[in-house]
Amino acid sequence: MEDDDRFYERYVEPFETRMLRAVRRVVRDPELARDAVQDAVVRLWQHRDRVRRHPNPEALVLRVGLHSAIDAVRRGLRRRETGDAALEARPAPAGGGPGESVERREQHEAVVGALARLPRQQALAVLMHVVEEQPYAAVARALGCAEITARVHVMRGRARLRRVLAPLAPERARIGVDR
Amino acid sequence: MSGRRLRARELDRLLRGTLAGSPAPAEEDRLRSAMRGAWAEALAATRPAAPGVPVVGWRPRPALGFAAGLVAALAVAVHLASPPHLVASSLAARGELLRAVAQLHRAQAMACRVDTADEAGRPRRYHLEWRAPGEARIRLDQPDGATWVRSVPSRRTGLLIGAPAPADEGDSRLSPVRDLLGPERVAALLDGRSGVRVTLDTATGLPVRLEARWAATCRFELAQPALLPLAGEGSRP
Repeated sequence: MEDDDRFYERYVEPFETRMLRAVRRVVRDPELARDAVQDAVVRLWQHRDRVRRHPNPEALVLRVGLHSAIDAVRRGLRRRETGDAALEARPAPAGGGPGESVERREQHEAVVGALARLPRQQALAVLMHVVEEQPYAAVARALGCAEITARVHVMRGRARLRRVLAPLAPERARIGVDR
Repeated sequence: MSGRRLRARELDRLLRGTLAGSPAPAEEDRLRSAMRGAWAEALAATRPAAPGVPVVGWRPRPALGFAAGLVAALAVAVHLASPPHLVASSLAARGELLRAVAQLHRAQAMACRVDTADEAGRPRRYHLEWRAPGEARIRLDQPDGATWVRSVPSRRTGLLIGAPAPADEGDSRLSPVRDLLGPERVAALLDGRSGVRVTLDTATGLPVRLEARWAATCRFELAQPALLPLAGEGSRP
């Protein structure tokens, strides 16, 4: 019980800010973001023994947070598909003017939606490696797989996102990628 | 869109650019607070409740547990202690007892007549009316036409015939029917252990004829306002 009392202090608090920022980058809706971080904490509690034994607890905590973030996005997508009007009225991300905010919000929704539609391992691998800049070894430890598998996850995820997100490319870039 | 792809470098730039930034400090504090609150709840849920704090949910109740254990123990004891044939025998005996009690209860409102003779050989006719609960009314029609009536209260209620009160025990006029007044005697008569033969009506199961050792003949009838006139037979031994 004493170990449990100090678990958060030892294993979560050092990576707390990093995790919540990673979650918030994926989940822009404040309520969904709060649900996601709480869900992540519950997952960490349930797997606290594994976190204690993990060689890279920082990567594992980050992975758990991103896992919950993707789940939150998927829940939001399902709600939108079923016509939940409340999600349509959610506030735009902070920063920029009104026109810029709408454009950025649409781009964010497209990117996050594409990530959420990837297989979970691919989405986590892409987010951890590309966005959070974790090395492949750390991604592999966090996902519980071999490093080569983590590379394959990233490669496949990237390939799919390159197709799906092509409409978001700048005009000058799109000219060069037409094949 | 088919066949058109982003370059890998462009994709990475798009992902990092879109998913960049940090929440405002207030938003970050709110998320941090939510995380720590969830952790505190998870931790508290694993701790036993402090003394005096009611436990939410089911908890064993000692009285109910004791009662359940007692019932289970009795069931096991009955099951183990009574072989099936003993149980059946017990049930059969109880059935007989219930039938006898039913007859007695039906007999509580019955009447009978006892014809006998006195020392001089004169006939005497007794009318006994058994009334519930346990009161016997005796009417003696004497040869000179006089009628002697006594109500004998019961010492015990709920039985067929009340035992005579102490003051009546010395009355010689009761002696011919004394055996029919006490509940023990009637029970013995019905049980066939006092030298009296009991005849039961096969249709109703009621005793319809008593043959006493002193040769008096009684006939049991269903309670009726008027007693059936029966011919006396026999005499005192």
